Amino acid sequence: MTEITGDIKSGDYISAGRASKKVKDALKRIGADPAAVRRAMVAAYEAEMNVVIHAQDGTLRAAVTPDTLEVLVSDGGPGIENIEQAVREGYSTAPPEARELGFGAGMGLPNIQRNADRFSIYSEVGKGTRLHFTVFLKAQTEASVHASSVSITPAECKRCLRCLHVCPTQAIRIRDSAPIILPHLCVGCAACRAVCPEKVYDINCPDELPEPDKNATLVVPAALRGQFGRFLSGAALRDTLHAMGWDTVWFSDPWEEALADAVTRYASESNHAGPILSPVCPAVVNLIQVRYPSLLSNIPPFLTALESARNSLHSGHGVFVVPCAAQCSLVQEVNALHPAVAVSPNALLRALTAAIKDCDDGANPPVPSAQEEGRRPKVVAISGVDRVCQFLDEMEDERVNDCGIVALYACDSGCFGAPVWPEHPEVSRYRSMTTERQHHASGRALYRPKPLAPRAGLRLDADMQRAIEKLAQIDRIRDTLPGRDCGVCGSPTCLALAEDIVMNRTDADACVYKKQHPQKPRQKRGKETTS
Amino acid sequence: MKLEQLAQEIGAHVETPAAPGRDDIRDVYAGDRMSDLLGAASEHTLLATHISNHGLLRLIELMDVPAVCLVNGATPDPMVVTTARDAGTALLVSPWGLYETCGRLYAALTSETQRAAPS
Repeated sequence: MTEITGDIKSGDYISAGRASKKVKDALKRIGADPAAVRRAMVAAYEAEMNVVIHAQDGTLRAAVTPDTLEVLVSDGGPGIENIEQAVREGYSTAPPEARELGFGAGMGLPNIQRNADRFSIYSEVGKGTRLHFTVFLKAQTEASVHASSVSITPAECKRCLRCLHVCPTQAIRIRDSAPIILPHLCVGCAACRAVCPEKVYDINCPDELPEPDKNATLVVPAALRGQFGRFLSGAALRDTLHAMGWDTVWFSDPWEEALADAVTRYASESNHAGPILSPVCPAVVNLIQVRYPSLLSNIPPFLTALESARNSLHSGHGVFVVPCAAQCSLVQEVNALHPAVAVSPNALLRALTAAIKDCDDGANPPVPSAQEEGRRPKVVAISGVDRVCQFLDEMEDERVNDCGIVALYACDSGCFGAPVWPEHPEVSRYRSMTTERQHHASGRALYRPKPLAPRAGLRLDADMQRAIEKLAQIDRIRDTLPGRDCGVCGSPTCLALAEDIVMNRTDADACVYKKQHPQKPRQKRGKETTS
Repeated sequence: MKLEQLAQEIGAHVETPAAPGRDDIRDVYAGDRMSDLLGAASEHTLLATHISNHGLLRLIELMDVPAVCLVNGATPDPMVVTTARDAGTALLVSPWGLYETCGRLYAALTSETQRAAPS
């Protein structure tokens, strides 16, 4: 990885672009694709110009890896008052001298957005703006974009097939008495893990907490506070973590609250028809991308709380304690500028249990005041993958048109119910309750200016003609199968099996029923056999 | 169309030549707004513009466009000429205004496509 830094001087139109040029030279040296270089340069130069025209001095930091370019441009103010307005085309507050030079057409931020593959902006009036974007230097392969963060311990599997039937996107196959996951379908919900009696599934991240260090920010879920058999205030837990060497600790709740506030504001300002799906759960966002792409426009343009926290890390690196695979994937997304690692809550729970014993904070949870309770409008909360799918199905059929803001959580009882936690979800929610306002890290909701796109499935074939033939083949094979969707073959449904056969993911004679009743195809049409 | 030929047809002066293998012009974008010019840049696009300052210099340096055409017979700054030479970007100067320059570019490029179409 190469890091490049450059200073940007306010009002210096002559030097503007020098930092971008340094980045370009680095990209040329590694032989990056010219089209990607061009996109990177549009974004970098526009970002640099923004500082020259509008801000106090700033810096550009870039990190080049073989696959990505990350750029962070930050300045010392004055900050952008209304980001939504600023990213709108044609909106500009540039002074006349900038306009004379061909700038200030109000195209800067939209241009960055169009040319970057990932883009986020955070601005505080009076303090400054941080603009962060990523350009993929190579076409991303399916596997690298959607690597599943679910790990599998094959030896434990008893082939009970429960996971096969709960997976909302049919991503699981049982092969040779062990499950495999089709990464392009896995959304990182914990449904398989919750249902598995043998603990085959886990989160694919280290089980050991790294050594505490000064430059690290430890980010922990709110649910952690409820896992110690009694009420524990945020302050008590924070003190214990400080004593263990973690100087900077962020709890997730301020970020979640900031998101809830932002969505509430969004809901009151927009006259959006139909339910507004608050992006509270990254697994549900993934699920909508894979299975309900027509509902993507119902998700307000904010990042999930975890992504906002990750993108707000100013210095050093982040250590994120992640309760589910979907959150784990978000943390592990390539971000060379602010490396973040994900660790399993087990590691922290083990380390904390001993330390927490001596901690005297046995008071009862605070009772929230009525005012506190009524701070936000009522949100319809739906949890559990099957309930979530039921709701999204109904929404897709246009049977739900009201409800206002809807919070959908993949885990039963929301993040408190993630299977990783030892305590009962509602008990730990009660214990985690806090009215203390966070002073250490005030959360914020970052805007997601690049709209969510449907997740492209794996094509049946790169060649369209052959893909169509394969589709017909799948239909033919499906008609020869019993349609019981029993899962004994290892595929979740007969249709999935037919596709697996055509895609060479399993043997043509995998269907157990067909082996026992070779003369009994499902329908008349199904006379032909596939073996 | 080859850049040399295009320059000749529209009657523009070639200040710095195109880099070898990067002289195939397929379309033209004219404008004075930097964001538009940045957005329009491609490996086959000639940019025609009034901009003749440091913005132009960066445009050449960062975007790898094959050619930039200045209009109204403008004399480019020596620094811009050096930058264009280093970047392998052809720098043309058209004696005509932007409107007429574009008209001539359009005529030259479309007549070539029409010639190519029957074969």
